[in-house]
Formats: sequence, C-alpha cells, structure tokens
Amino acid sequence: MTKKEIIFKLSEMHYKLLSKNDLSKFLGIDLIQTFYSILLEEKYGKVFYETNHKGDVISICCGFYRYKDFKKKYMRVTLVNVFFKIITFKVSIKRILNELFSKLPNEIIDNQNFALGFIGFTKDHGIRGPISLAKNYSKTLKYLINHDCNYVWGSTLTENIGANQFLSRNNFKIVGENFNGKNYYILKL
Amino acid sequence: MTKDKLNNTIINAMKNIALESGTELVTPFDNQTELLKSGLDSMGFAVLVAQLDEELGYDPFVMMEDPYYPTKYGELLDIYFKYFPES
Repeated sequence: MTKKEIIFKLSEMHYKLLSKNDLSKFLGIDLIQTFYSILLEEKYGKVFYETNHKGDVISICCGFYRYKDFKKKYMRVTLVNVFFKIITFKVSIKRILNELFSKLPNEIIDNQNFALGFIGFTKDHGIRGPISLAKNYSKTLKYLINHDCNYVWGSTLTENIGANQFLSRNNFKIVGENFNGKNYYILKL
Repeated sequence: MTKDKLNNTIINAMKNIALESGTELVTPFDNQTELLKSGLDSMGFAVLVAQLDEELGYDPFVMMEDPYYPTKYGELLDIYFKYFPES
C-alpha cells in the first residue's frame, strides 16, 4: 500500500470507531487523515497497526514520545481548517477551544511527552481484533521504553467503557476523573 | 510451567475480567467453549492478552510467525502452552 492508502485506511477505521460525542467525529475525517500523516513521519511517535489481506485495518495503537511537539504541529496544520469548519458547520467554538486548549490534570502537565494515542479494533474480524490490539499495545509500550520512557499517559471519554476498562486493567492509574468529559490515566513503567 | 497451572492462570484472569465487567464465564466452561461466547466481550479479550503478557512475560501472538487466531478456549490454551518460554 502507498502511504496515502495507509493514511486513508487508518483514518477510515479510526473515524468508524469514534463515538458520536467525540469531537473528531464533528470535525471530520480529513483532520484524522492529517493526524496520521504527521504520525507516520515517525518524528513524534509511531502508529502500530495490523491489516487483513484486503488492507483493511484490524487494530490501531498510537504511541508518542514527543506528544507536545506533535500537538503543536497538528494544531498549526489544522487550525485554519478547524475554523473553516466552525463557520461552515456551526460546530460550537467553545467546545473546540475547550478540547484544543484545555488544561490537563496536574499529574500530566509536566509529563506530556509520552502518551498513548488512539487505540481500538474493529469487531468485523472476531477474536482477531482484540488479540491484534493487545499485540499492538505491547509493541507500543516496547517502542516507548526504547525511547527512554518511564511513564505514559492516556485519556479516553468517560463514557467509553471498553477503553476505560482496557487502561485500568493494564495498571494505568486514574489521575483525572471526568476532567472535561474525559478520564486521564498514567502508567508508570 | 505445567499445562494445568497455565490453564488455572488463564481461567483466573478471565474470571476476574468478567467479574469487573459485571458478567461471569459461561457454564460449563471447557476446552470446547467458543471464546466469543465464553462470557468475555471482545474488549475483554484485548485486556486478557495484554494482562497475560504482563503476568506471564510473553505474548504468543507476537511470537508466532504465521498469525493464527483461536476460536475455542482449548486452542487458546494450546497456543500459550506451545509458546511458553523454556527456562
């Protein structure tokens, strides 16, 4: 697959798995494509994923070792697009600003760089989906450890029971509960 | 590790994950039990494989060259037993 096709496939799967309350769902798939095109440069982190024989993505796990720089670049690239969408689709500006510029829990503010990004799997492939996610999660942690990571943080919408369960069962400790609608976790490695 | 001990480790992990999700494993539960009808939902299996990696120190699905995915509990146990690192 070409890089463009990979970005398309990853974004398609990511978009499909978002809950209706997720801001990215409002902002559209093109912003998710930007997310993966930056991440695939591997300057800030890496996306671990698995595809089936048709090239459809089964699972994704993103890991960052320079999350702050990634976020800066992502915002620089997407800001014009975001404000265009605010005007065109009347997405609440307050909500977007809250999401993009919101404060993080104190435990994370000074330790932002090592982050677990989007994680998920499709249910179209039976048991292969969750096993594939666990495999990519394990690869992500090893990748972060190789970048001298000794902690990693992650967040998920409070309502996302599966992701909350995945993080807490994998020894992530909650450091911000229902903080701007999300739960924040840290794992010490 | 004996296969019995490994079996106990996996089943205990599955029971705990089911319990935390407010469910329980189906009865009877044996080697023929289909994984996706065992009482754990699909996210539960992601949790199980990641947790066993932590507990046992290996993930057979990362180690295998040709990906193979079990459908029944007995197949899952066989995979973990086959790839158990020799001391």
